[in-house]
Amino acid sequence: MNNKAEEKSRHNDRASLFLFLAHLWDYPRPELISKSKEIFASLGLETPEKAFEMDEALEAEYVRLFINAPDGVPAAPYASVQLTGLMSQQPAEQALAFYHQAGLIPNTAEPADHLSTELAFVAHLLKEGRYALLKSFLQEHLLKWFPLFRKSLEQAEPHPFYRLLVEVTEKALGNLKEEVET
Amino acid sequence: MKRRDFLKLSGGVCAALASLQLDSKFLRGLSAAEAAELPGSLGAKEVPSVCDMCFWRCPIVAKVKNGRVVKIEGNPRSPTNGTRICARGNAGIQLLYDKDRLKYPMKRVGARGEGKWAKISWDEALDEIAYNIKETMKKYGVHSMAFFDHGASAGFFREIFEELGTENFSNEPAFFQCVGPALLAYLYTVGYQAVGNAKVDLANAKAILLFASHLGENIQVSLVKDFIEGLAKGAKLIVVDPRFSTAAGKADIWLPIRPGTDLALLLAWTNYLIENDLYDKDFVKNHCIGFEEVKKAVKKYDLDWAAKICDLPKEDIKKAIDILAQNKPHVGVHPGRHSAWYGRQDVQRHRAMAILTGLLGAVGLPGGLYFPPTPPIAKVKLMECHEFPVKGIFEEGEKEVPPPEVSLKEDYPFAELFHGSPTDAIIKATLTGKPYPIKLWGVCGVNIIQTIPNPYQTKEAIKNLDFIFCVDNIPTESVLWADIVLPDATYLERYDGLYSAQETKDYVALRQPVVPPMFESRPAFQIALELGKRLGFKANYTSEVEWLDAQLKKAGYSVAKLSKTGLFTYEVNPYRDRKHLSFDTDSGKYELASEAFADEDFPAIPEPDFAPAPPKGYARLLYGRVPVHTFAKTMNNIWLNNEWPENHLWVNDEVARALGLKTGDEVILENQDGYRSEKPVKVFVTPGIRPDAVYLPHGFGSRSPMLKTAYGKGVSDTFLITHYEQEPMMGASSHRNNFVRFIKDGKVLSIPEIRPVPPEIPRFENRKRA
Amino acid sequence: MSQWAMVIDLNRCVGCHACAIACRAEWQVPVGEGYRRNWVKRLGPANTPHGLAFTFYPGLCNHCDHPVCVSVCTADEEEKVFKCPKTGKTKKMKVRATYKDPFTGVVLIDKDRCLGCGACVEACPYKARYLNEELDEPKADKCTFCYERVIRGEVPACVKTCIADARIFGDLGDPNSEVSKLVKAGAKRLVSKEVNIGPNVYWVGKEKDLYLLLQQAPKEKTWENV
Repeated sequence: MNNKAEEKSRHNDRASLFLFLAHLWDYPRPELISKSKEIFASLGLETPEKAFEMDEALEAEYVRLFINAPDGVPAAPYASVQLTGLMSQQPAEQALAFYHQAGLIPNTAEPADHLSTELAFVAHLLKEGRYALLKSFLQEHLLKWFPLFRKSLEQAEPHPFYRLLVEVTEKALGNLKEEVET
Repeated sequence: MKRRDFLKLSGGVCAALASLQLDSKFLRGLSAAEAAELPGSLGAKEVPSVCDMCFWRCPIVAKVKNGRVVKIEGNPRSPTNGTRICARGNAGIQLLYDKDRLKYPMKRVGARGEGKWAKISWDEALDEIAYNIKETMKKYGVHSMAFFDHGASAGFFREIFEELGTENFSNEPAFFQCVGPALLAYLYTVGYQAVGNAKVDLANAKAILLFASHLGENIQVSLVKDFIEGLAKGAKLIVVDPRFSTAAGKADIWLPIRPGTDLALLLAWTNYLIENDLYDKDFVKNHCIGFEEVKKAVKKYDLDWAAKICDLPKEDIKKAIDILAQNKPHVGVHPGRHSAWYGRQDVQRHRAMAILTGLLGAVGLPGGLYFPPTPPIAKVKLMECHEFPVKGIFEEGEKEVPPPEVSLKEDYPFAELFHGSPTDAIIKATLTGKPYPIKLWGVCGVNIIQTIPNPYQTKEAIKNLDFIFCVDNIPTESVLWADIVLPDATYLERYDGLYSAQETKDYVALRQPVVPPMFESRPAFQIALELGKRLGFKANYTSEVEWLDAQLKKAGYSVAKLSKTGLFTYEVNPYRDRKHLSFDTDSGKYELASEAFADEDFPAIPEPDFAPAPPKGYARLLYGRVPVHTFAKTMNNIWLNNEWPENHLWVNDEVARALGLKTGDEVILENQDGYRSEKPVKVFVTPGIRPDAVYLPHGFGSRSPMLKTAYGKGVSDTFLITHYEQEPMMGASSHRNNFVRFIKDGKVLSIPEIRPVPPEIPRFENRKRA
Repeated sequence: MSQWAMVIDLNRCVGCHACAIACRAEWQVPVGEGYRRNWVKRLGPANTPHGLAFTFYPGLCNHCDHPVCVSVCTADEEEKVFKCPKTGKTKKMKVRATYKDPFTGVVLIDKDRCLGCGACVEACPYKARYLNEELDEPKADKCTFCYERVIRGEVPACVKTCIADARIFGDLGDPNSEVSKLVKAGAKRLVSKEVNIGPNVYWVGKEKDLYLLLQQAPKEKTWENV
């Protein structure tokens, strides 16, 4: 196989990984949570049994961290909130502009700058081979707010699943960033 | 866990992920209505394809909103042009929507050239063409048919004529009015086709020589891009041109050479390199043959002599060759393109350029000539003629006309390398019936009236034909003179062959329909299949997709796979390690001396051979391109016409002063044969052209009233090009040997001879024609 | 403070007119006398004190610091809310039908409010505007630095198509941008003693080419006649 085909295949695999992560940042589903244990383990992480128990506690945790909480949402997974404190500000428009460039628009009720949508977009760009656009999207948008999100999530003392998930996501993005920068 | 390895997903992980079959529910494609709301071309449906506004064929992405093509851009996946395309490429939209474009098959109802038409059905049109082909073959034999071809559509019909067996199955202006001599010269020196797209690595050159090229006014996007990149990286530039071209404006040295004396400069430079030990000894010793012969042959040519013959300052000639020598071997010597200039010297001029290139060692490494890649696709045949002669054309007792004794290529020993026959031979045979009669012409994608030298002769020849049919997008002059006209779908409405750049990077690109064909235009592929059917041909493929898939299979691709991205790239190897360098020539080496030429009694090594100087009172008529047009076929495009509606004549400022002319004045041109321009041309006075030449951009002065926008704009250079000389090796019609003087307010203005002509240069003999 | 700007490199430009056609296609500018948002003029070949030169003037609206077109607009002033595309900050300003965007420095026309009087077209010393009389109601039109494209992550149409990569687009408010660096290194703009309204399009090139180009700098205070 020549280099181009190898690269294409590699990027398709990463695309699958990022799409998977996109789904994991969405409301938890049992079949995905259980599969994630196997996959996280293969990626070299410690995967304690308790972290992957799909139960009411996990669902409640998702709501507490990302949707609604008594003192306000501690780790809102939106670029606008992380960067400006408010929902649906310019960062959402910026994300939308990137999607438009690739001929796409969000297909969920969420604002354009939800983490799931943005990770799904990364997956799409990898699959389509739009590396220049991917580089711009990472440098000018996603990597500007993800570190802030990670920090706020850690400060919220999350369920071990979400602690693991943010670590996997951060490492995946970090490796991708290094690659597109070379 | 090492950070670096994180994204190296193991097979197990990949399988696990794949088994999840996750849907990408988070994003969806914009609906057409939503997309149409975004301003400009944003949000448009994108269809990748390949441009055909000229023969460079850059990969493009066409943008469609509400069924209308609104924008065309380069394909960002293309390693050669990326998102960039030129003015013509951007204006393809206005070819598609040209109100004057051919829409229906038509049949002439007046005299040839009158422009009176009746609309007919496709069946009637194709039946008529097939009938006439059969009749002509019956009466006069298979060679009595000739096909004039250029462009993407032409190939399909060329196959038909070739299958029928006529030796005149092709007559490409590309070869016989343009690139033939240069192509032949380099083929016999370096062993490959170095000229189709100039296979010179300008982006990585440390010095560039443009001899015989006005790159920057002829816009070949990826080559211009590479040229500019090379300059931006600090390459030195030498431009040899009687006119101060766009490239000359960027040059370190401009050599305004006396037209026709190029061999003097090239041979003197060659001698200078050898005498001063400035040539690439390693390359010459290990990879060339004929060095000693060249050394002996050029010994007597020095820079002083060249300065006198070429009318150039010696210091500049010397500075230029010193720059080239200092930067060897990374010197980009452009091999030239349009080379059908004067006749006998044409092939030798490009041989001399190739020899210079060899002495500089500028072959097979960055900056020099590179080895073109071979795209990984299969060659397939669309149709075959299994019964020869064509089934059913002969009735009981009728016999086939025996083939002629003399081939039209007879006089040209190297014509066999080029498919088809020399233009001049075809036209003479059509006019005179000698050596055998030609009675039927097919024309596709070329405006023969504004392309072939001596259009008066061409028209007379057409009058002698029993039948002529024409396939085109727009009603050019050629269409005016046809009996049957077929409307070709534009490149935006069709599939075609697969296209590659064959540069230092390469791709295989798919042309596919962006919008369905308008009116009753049809893709040439389909027209040819239908015509072939009527001639009893067997079609190996019945659809473009099938035909293309057969070519793509070898590389593991298909039309379906390519339709989203438009192209795939593949690894190429443009350079060669000196240890692994070999050439596909008879000797296996770079041939500085050509035994093959000597075998046919042509000089093995170029000799001085100068074009005759203008007759007293005349200036040489030079022609060329403008960046906004293609040949004689884009002048009706409303956007391109808006940028450049007419051509102006470049006149040297000293000459203008002597004649009392200022920029904007109008003069009629009269050539050496007494032919005059149909209307006056505006003069552009400039120091940027030699006093013994004038320059008129090609392709204007349309004489087709069916092209409302182009008709009558500017002046036709072709109708002043009534003299030509046959290049003797492959039969090109060389035509940079016409001369003009001015007529203003009824008075003849003779061009003063400001630059003296040395005795070594003969004078053009003024022969008047009827 | 942002100021969108362009630098055109005449060392690279070959005068191919791709930029002119790309702009016309992108914004569907009709063909007509003077109807264009950008243009390419051929300069020379002509003698200059620095040698024989042949270059080009690829021109467009300069989005000036002190846009005289804005000052002559005859529409009434109305309050308009402006939004910064980078930060989302907003600002209210009273403007007429044409105005200089406070966050980007781009000079824009509100087609809903334009009266089609043509004053701005007359006023511009660079003749960068034209009056589109093919519409139901005449409207002024000109280069917008492809504002609508740029805020959505695209590049201006002319920049995207340029086959020689001769057009550099960016923000003068960012000292690390390429345009800032080129301007700092001495890029020239079309100003004269008579006309100096702070244009934000610059050129670089050989001395002889800039000599020809600078002859194109307007010398007439065209806005004073309006």
